[in-house]
Amino acid sequence: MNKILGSLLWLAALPALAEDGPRVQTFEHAESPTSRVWGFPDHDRFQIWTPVALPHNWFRDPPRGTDVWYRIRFSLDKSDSPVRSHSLYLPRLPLADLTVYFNRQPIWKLSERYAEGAALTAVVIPVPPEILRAGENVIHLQAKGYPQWFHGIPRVQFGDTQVLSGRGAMRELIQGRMILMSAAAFGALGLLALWLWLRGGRDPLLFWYAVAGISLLAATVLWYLSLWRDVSDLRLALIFLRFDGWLMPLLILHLRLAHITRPRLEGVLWLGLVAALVSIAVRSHWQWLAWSGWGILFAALPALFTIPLLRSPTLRRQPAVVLLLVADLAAAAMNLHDWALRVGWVDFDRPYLVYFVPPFVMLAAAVPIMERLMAGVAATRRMNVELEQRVAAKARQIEANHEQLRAAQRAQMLADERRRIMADMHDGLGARLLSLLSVAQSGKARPEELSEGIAAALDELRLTIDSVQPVEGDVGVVLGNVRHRMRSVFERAGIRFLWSVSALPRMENLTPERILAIQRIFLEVFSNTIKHSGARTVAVSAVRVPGAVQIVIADDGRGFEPAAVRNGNGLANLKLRAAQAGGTLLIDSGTGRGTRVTLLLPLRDEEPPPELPGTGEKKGPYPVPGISPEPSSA
Amino acid sequence: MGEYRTGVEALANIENSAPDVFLVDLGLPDMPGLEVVRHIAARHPACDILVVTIFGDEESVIGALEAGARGYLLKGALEHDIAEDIRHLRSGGSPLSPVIARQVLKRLVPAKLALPAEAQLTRREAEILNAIARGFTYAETGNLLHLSVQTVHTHLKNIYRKLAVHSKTEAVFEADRRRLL
Repeated sequence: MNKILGSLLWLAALPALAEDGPRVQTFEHAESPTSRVWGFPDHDRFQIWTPVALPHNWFRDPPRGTDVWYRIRFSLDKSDSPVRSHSLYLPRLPLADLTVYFNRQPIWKLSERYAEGAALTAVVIPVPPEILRAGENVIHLQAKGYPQWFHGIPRVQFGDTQVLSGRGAMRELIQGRMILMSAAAFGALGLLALWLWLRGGRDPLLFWYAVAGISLLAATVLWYLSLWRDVSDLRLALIFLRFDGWLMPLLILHLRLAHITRPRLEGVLWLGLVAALVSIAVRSHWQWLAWSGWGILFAALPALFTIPLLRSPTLRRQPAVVLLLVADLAAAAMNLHDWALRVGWVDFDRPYLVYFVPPFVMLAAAVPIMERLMAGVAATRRMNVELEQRVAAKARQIEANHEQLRAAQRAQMLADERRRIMADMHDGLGARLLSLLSVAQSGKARPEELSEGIAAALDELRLTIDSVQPVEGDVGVVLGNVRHRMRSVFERAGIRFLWSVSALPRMENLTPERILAIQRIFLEVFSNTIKHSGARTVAVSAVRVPGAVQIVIADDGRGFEPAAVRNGNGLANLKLRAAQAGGTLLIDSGTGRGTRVTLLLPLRDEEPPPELPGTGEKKGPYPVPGISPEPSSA
Repeated sequence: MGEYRTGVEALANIENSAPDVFLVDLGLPDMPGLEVVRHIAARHPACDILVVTIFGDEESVIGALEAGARGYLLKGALEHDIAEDIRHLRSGGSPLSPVIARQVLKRLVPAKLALPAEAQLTRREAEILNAIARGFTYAETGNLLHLSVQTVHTHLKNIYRKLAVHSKTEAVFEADRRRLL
């Protein structure tokens, strides 16, 4: 760990300690006037210059007054030098203002750059070639600053513009852009955390992470503003906020992570922050003391973060927490380094390490939060799976119940059907057999009479069995079956069939009961035709009409007058059977016109029975296809 | 012409007589009538078998046709009708009731199991069965489809054969399903 930290520090200090080649010289010594300066000091020939070591840290070695002059004299062998363009380079600018003179000519002024809107942390100043002299040259620095603001003068470097520009750019990247980029990144991360917190969960970890990220961004913006705006005493407080203020929410984040909620302790901590800011912002003799005191306290704050985490035996074993602990300690070390740099215990020209602290801590703090969120997601997923399983089990149960219900319904239907067949046999077959029995017992029965009766009983039984044969809702099969049964009877009677049953739609409501009723209608009509009509041809047609199947049985027999039928039982019976079949029946006949029976069966029960077309209006003989229209007599 | 009272008796004697037509009641005293039908259909493919049933219901008739019968007679039918049916049978096929035709169609058409080619109905055969299922006689069916009655009979013979093949396939399929093979 120490090795890693050491190499990191070395890496950060690299730009300041870069080796000078023949193209660059670094000035470690300067001269400063001993007495008060009025105007340009070299104009005063009685001025006494004393040597000063660079860098000159004003906090550790305070100068007299706020306006300090430095003089650097050096000689340049211009003829020998391969360098074409020369520049001055100052790696840090911890000053309120700085004017640079080269060979007594002003070439650069910090406050003018600030006025132009530049935010400078390091500067490369090109030296105009015409004022550069071979041999003796002199640089004057007129610096303005305050010792308690940790102002001072870094080592000044002079040489090849190309080399120094590279150093300046590197320094600018670390001290300037990196601060902005990391602050922007963690500010965005904070906003993301805030959004997540608002959307759901209201996890305190997310909230304090959001506060830390956003306050880091805000402090950085404020500090940058302070670079080119004269905010006088507030600037010190802003620097403090920038460096240490955002650590407070992180501390509370650590407490939440260890499941510690102590409002009083947290109140004290916040009060401490406010007290620090106030004591630093108010101009007083002790201002710098407050700054450095609070500074070291807050610099060590990340080390304090580790206490609640280390006290929990479960937490300190989690890899994510261990990572956070390491980050906290590294952050504390870096903060202390920066504090030491400001108070002059570390080389003044080294860059601040504070820029590396936010990435370390914020990233490490994000890990346990992510872990907790992931655990939440996993738990939700587990719950979902469980829920789905439960729903599936419930659905299976419901399905099983339905299946039971359906089985019960099927059983009920079977029982109903059995009852119906029983009733049917009782009324039909039973009655027929009983009458046969009484005829047989009377002893007067002729054998033909008996065999006819028995055959009729057998037919009755076959009819019942036919009604339960599978027809799959096709009424055509029912009609065909009746014809098939009656085949030999019609053949013997010499009656011809004109059969035209087209493909018919499936009828869902074609129950055995209805089939039986249809069969009976047909048998009744056919037997009337055979016995009474004297017809030679019977035409049967079944076609689909809108919403129904229309079945017509027409013969070319002698017909009858429906009104004149003495015993209307037969006709009423047909109508009753039609109703049992779920349809309507129309009989149209007249003497010499043949007979036409129309049965209309709706495809679905909910539809009202459709009107029979042409009811009783046609008076002519029915056109039976294929036979002559004139009525024929048998 | 022979007459036997039990299935065993019939099977024992039929080897010598080799009849053209064989009538068998499904309700024999010693063995199921369908067994007798199956034996004779296997050994004497030229023999036309008619089963005799009381009701001509779908279950017994389809079973008989699948076992190899070529038709059925109703018990109690007039002698004239029996003679007529036997004549029909010799010329190609006995009358098939619409219910039976419908069931044959249902068995041989659906894709519930991949039927072997020799058990698949041709379009013509399906049309014939469809017409019979709607109550048309063979002659009317022939007229409807522009075929001679003789052709209709030939088709019916093929249909009976396919039904027998199908029943065997289905038995194999069923056995396979139950992991008996």
